[in-house]
Amino acid sequence: MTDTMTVGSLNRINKTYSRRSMFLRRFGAHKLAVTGGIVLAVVVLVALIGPLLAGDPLALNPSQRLASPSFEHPFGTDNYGRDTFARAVAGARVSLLVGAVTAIITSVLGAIVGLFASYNRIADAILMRISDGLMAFPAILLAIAIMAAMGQRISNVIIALSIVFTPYVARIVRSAALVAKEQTYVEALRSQGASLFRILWINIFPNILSPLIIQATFVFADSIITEAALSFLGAGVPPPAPSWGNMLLDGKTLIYNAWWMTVFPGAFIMSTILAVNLLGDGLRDLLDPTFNRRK
Amino acid sequence: MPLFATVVSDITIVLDIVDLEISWLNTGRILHKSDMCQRREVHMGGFLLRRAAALIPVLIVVAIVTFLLIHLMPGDAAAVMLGPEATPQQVETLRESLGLNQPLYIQFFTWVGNALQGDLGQSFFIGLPVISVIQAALAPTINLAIFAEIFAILVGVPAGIIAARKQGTGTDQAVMVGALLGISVPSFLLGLFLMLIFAVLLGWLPVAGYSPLEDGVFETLRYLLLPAIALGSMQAALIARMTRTSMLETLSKPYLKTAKAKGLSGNRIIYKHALKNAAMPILTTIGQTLGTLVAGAAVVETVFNVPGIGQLIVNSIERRDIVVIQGVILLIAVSYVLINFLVDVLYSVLDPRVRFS
Amino acid sequence: MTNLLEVVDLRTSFDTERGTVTAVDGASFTVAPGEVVGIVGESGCGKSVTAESILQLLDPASTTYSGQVRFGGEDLLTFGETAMRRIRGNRISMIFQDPMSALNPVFTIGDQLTEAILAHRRIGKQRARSEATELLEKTGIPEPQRRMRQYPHQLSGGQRQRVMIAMALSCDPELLIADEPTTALDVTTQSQILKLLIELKDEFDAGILFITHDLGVVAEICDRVVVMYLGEVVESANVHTLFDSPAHPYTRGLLASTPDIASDPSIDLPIIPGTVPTLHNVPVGCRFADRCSFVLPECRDRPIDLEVLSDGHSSRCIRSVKLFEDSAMSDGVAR
Repeated sequence: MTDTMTVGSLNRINKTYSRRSMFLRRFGAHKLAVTGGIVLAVVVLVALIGPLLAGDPLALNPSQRLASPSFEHPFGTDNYGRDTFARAVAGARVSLLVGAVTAIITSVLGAIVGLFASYNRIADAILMRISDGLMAFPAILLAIAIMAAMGQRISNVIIALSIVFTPYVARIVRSAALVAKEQTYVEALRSQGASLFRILWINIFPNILSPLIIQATFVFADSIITEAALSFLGAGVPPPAPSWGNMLLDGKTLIYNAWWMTVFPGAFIMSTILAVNLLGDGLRDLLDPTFNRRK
Repeated sequence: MPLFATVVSDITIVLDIVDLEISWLNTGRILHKSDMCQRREVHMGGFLLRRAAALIPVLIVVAIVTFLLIHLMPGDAAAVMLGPEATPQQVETLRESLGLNQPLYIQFFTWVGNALQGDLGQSFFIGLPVISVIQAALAPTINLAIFAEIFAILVGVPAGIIAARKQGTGTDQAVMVGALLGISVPSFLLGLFLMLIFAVLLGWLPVAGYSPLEDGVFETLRYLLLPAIALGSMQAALIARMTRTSMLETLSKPYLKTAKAKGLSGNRIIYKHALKNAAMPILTTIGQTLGTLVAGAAVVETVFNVPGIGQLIVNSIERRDIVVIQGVILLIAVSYVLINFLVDVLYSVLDPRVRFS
Repeated sequence: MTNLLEVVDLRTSFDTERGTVTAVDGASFTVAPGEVVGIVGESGCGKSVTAESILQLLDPASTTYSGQVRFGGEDLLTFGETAMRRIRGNRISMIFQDPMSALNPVFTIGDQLTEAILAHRRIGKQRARSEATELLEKTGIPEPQRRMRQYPHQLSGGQRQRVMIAMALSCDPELLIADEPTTALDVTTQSQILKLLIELKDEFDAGILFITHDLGVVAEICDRVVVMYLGEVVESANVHTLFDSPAHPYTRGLLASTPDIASDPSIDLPIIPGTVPTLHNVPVGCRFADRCSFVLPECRDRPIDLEVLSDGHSSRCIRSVKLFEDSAMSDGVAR
């Protein structure tokens, strides 16, 4: 038993190693995905160090209201004289934070729910009906309803988005786990009396990892879009804290006077989502051979 | 809360029965498949029954989730809705009229019972039944959703076909990049950009507002053109992708070679023989996106100040009029479920082989 | 007798990810009016590609043709797409292997038949429908009226193939190309379909190019036979000559591995050893050399030419003459 385990883990290490180098090589060949990755890295960098350089996003400056883009205010100022660049950069922090935290929470919850469902028939019936029901609501609408009930707060945005997106992750994890479970070596391990936890961790988990990562990138993108939409509707990040969505809401009322209040936060959202989608598509091509073949 | 648990466990039993029902019908399907032609009527009936049975658990969960929204409000829902200035007396009255003093499961069954009879409650702020508030706002939203879907189909299907016919060429890549852009730009953002360009800068179309159909389709179209494009772009992108995939799969089928060997023209082969076969997945995509479209319409409306469901939602959020929001999302989720059901039915009508998925 | 179809040095290549492959490499043969010519070979030998090249049915983006396909005094390979459309289904029509997948599942039999008629003839829709019904009746389908309204999945395999034949005959073609038309059918249906084809050939006075891997079928209906191996014609002969005195080792192998009703079922049929090489690594010399039991070192040196043995009999083998004599003496190894 110990012998076979060692050989097994050795094989696994070799496999991981060769897989990783191949992964990097193919990723390098995937120009669009790399572009996406670079753009996303820039946005993350801006979100991390930008606020240190751009100044206070909340600083009012009545003498500088609705100033068009200039050297001093590269993205112009809003109706309170706040610097649009500083606000867009601070908004990047909020958006990325909401997106990343939601992606992590939904991945963890989705993995737990999906694995559990794949292992217990009764749990499966209940959990999948619940997820069917939740998925019957258009995502944005359910998020709006939850926010309307719970009230505007960043933490509530994350909770609402997690409720909305977990079923999608759970579905994917469940089907991947069911496929992995059918494989003969899992049967063999079970007959040898390996513990459920061990089987889940060593044999099932690696198999659900790829779909989970791919889905997490899409949840990340969708969360950023949905957060922006929520804030735009006045049901997301509460002002005066800047978020791309509530900046657009301000921009909309002043669209005749200050185009920059719409264009710059809009461009931030667009490039971020495009980058994440490119990255996600690239990851899917790389990690999911079945999908690749179907294409 | 323990009472709620009982309700849930009761529902699970119901669900299990439904599950059994479904698996039984499933076996029937396999048995019938060989002599499908003779038993087509039996089949269609079984198919519809099976699909209809599968709707029940989904609708139950939809009802529970919608119902629970009011209980997601922090603390006393009635107090939250009325705001800090309300007197305890007012709060108590509202609580009473919302039925919040009763046990949870009674509240639930009362609420479901009323909803089934078309009573979605009373908006405390407007002083009207929720159902009539929604009715008043429905027309612009539905018109917008329909215009957007038409736009999406008119753009998405041809784009997907062209991409499939020119697979691997620059045209194909251009369509796919366009589709990626369509998926990456949220509708409300696209709406703002379109408004900035075509209404503010060029002045070709009105910035915002709505004109009802009764005053002429052309006027309505003028107001809804930008919102419809903004809303329909993502569906157009999804439809284009699905059309391309489905067409690529169909284009390799032997019967298209037969069509070519008959001496038919390329266009006739593509648009008649291939498209009808590729139509099913495209139709599913259209059906699936129709529900999202209604929700998206609500968001885009607020960009262009179209007085529809979206405006209603935004106003209700400000007022924390949760009863109206419950009504809206229940209605949209139920119609989403029903639309998908109808698409499935249409599927089996359109495809003579009665393909079951 | 002037030939209906003359294929001269036909070469069909595909661009693939792994480079260009030549699926048909210099095939030449003829079909006379009223004649049935068989093309025989294992799967992958290029017989179907040959058939589809005649009508240029292959994906135009990745296929290159060269040589000549002379039909009615003109070279079809010089025709554009529009001119080819007037040939396809009208003067030359085609029947495919699997009648299930060759009929469009979402249109009725009547629609598909009528469409074939209307593609080439300026007649009313009603007349086209009644002609289609007549055609169905001619192919021996019971209740043609009802069949017209049915979908392909509601018909049996044999009926579907009859529909394909009706469709192929709808414009009174001069040449009929049948690509393994009986392979997907059971034995009884097979012989019915073959009989039908012969009857209709005589009635319509058309030539038939019959693609098959089944020598039994060849014996039943063909006048002349072309044997193909890995894209090349290796032997071509009158059907009697081919069965009585096959000249190419590959033909002999094919004949020997064909089950015979008279032979003892307890004796295992000999099989040709090895498998067909892929088109990506075609041997320099004789393409059959690796599987041939008569192989000599010089077989592998350079490409072998098609050698005329007698009138209408040729073989691509340097030992043909010798083997030809042997088999004549032993009265045919296979039979």
